[in-house]
Amino acid sequence: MLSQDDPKSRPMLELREKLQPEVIELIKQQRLNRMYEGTCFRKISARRRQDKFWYCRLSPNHKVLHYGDIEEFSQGQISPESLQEKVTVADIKAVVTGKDCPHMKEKGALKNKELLELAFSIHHNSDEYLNFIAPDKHEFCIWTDGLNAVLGKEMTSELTKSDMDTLVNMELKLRLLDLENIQIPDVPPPVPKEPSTYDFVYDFSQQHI
Amino acid sequence: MWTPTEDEKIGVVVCSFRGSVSLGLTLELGETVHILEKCEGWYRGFSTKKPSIKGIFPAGYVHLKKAVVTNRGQYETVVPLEDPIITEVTSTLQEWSVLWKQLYVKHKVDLFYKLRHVMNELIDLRRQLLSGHLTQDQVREVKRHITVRLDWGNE
Repeated sequence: MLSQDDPKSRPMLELREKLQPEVIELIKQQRLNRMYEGTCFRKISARRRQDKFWYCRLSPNHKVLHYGDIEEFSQGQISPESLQEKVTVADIKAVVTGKDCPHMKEKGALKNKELLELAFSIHHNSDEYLNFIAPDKHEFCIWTDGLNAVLGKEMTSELTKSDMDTLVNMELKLRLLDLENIQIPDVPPPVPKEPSTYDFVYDFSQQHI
Repeated sequence: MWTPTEDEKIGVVVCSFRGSVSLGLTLELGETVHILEKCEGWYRGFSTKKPSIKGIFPAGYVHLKKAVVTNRGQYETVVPLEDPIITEVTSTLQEWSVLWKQLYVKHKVDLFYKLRHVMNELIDLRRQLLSGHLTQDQVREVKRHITVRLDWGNE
């Protein structure tokens, strides 16, 4: 069995680890792009008959979240100018999810398992909260990952794990293309003693390439 | 003393080398190197990814592949001796990989998954060709499949 067939062999694990930081950067870019496009959220209330909608999007410089109510559900992007409110990213203290959210703790708040899994809140300034209910699990992951990313924190959603796997697995396959049918040593081969001379045959120091 | 290599021209790195010696070349598992000269168990050469950086690395850290050398000497060109379709598939996959990552970042979901599927198919077909276990007919079939997929990708 060749080393590259065994994903748990040391060289494979080492290469995976090496590939991760670049992949995390890609995931972060994607999340930020999605937040920049923005999402239409529902304000769910037990009291109202009809749900209201609001839109939230990240500014191009990633420093401000623009948001505001909108008349009806929108698939397309809403321009920041039509969104009245904003939260400055630098004022964000924390992002909380699920039952730690104020809108999930309120008395009379709609609390079913699905909603708890889609709820997140931005704690900003000293005592203000911006409460969200994500339209689906996917958007929940995009936004919580994205917010963690702008705050310089780790992205921890299931979506990040799965995107990581997808991207790293492909990268790994591509890196190993030229090692098809070739034995990879499990432990590093011995390094010979340094050569007794560095007087090389070819001198490239005059190259202008 | 260092002497130019005759047959040892192309190698694939089988173990990452951190370059922890004087004038050492840092090499990653799977990289391809072009070997210029050798001495006492060391090669001197460069990675095809970064040809302007020359350095030394242990001979035991690369697996040698047959090569075709032209203009032997300081400015020689070296090409792996392999079926040109293999070379084409390999380089196409590397190009598409860049595009694929852009599709991910821009959230072009459909195209992202379609391209992934085709890339996986190509990787598989390439593996079949390299296995050396195919009959002439099977080789022709596999090459046909490869061409179809390469054409699809070039849209």
